[in-house]
Amino acid sequence: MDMVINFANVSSAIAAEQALSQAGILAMVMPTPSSVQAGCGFCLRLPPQSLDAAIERLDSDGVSYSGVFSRSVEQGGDTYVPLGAFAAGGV
Amino acid sequence: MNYAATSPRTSPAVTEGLVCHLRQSMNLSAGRNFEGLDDGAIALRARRVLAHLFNVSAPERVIFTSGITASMNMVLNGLLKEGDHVLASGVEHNAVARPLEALRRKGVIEADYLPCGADGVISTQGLSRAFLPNTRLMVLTHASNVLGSVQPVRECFAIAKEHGAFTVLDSAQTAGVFPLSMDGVTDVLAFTGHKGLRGLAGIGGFALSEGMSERMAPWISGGTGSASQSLEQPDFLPDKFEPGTPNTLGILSLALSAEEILSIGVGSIRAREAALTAKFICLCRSIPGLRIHGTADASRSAAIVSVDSPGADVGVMAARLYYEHGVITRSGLHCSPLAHKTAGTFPHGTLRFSFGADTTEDELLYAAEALKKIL
Repeated sequence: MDMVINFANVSSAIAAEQALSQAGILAMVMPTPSSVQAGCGFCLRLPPQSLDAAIERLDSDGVSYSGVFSRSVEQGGDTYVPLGAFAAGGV
Repeated sequence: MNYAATSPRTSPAVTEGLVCHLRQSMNLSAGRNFEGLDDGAIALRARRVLAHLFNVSAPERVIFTSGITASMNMVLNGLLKEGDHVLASGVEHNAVARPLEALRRKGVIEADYLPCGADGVISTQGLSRAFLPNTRLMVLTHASNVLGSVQPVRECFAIAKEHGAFTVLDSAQTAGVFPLSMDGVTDVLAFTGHKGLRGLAGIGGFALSEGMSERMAPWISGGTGSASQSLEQPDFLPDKFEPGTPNTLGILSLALSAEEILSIGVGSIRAREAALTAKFICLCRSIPGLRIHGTADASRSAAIVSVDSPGADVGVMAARLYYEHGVITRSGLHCSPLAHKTAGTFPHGTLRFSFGADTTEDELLYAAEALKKIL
């Protein structure tokens, strides 16, 4: 399982990637899976143990995100479950 | 000596950065191969440095357009509603005056141009009386592109705020040269990239103060690479006002040049250009028959000196300066009939000298000598 932080636009996704990189948190930027959100946006994928630190950093840097999801691999493909504890945040 | 129209070249560092980017983008293995990511990173870099330069507290409130003409059309059409009244100065460039006039002719708005002295400066005395109950917006050029005259923007916009009007600043002649602080001064700051900011032509934009995005409708709409499931324009920044393919090379040129400007210091740039302007005004004063328009005071002027000579055609003067002496100037009405009417130089116009980063004192001496010879 790993975590996906989704962003409304490319600007926020890049700002987030840069903020996490500066904090030493590894995250992979990738197109948002269509099962998370239809469209052509970008998200960050990172290991679950990095999530709290990542969210803390994004909030402190004022980088907005539109949702957080856990990704698990099941038969038939990936499943993304929204994590209610992380409502859209940032500014 | 035509920097008020455009900087003739980018700085060596900006040119090198652009060439480097072009070489890298030709290499298909470079980058991350997700369309838009690298462009987005460049845009974010530019937004951050311009937000710093203009004292905008959030980079996403810096919006890129092709320049001030596009910015003004987006801002004026996005903010104004039927029945609104607008105040502008009597020295506005057509980038402002024509969108206003188009709205006025459609019957959407009323517009009044604030009287200026012949030097092109608005008098703040009695300014309050120009506001009507339906005055929704005041738009001012920071410095006249014809006369160089710097407007008392802070005072005028403070009065506009007392009357509940939006404020919009045209920084065409001052961005990158004058210290500009948007937050707390103006609701909108429109900028162009190819003059004092020394980027490429075809890039510019506007910055919005906090909360202005909610008050402004998008004037153009289209693809943003975001919220693609919806047929409506996104309501978040910068996407709300940036549909279509970005001018990434132009945006990169702005990022590079603004970084360079910050490293030099805007105060130093302004001091240098004010000294050049003062020197040229002094030289012009020694030329018999030459009239100097504007404030003729470098401390109250952008690096622009507009002149004429009774009986002499300014077009012929500009041609002779160029063909006989290699001096490039700009003659005529400079896309601002309003400023020329204010200065009393309509319709014959003036001969405009304007200075920038590469102008030298030797060039000023040479140009003044050339001017003497053609009169």
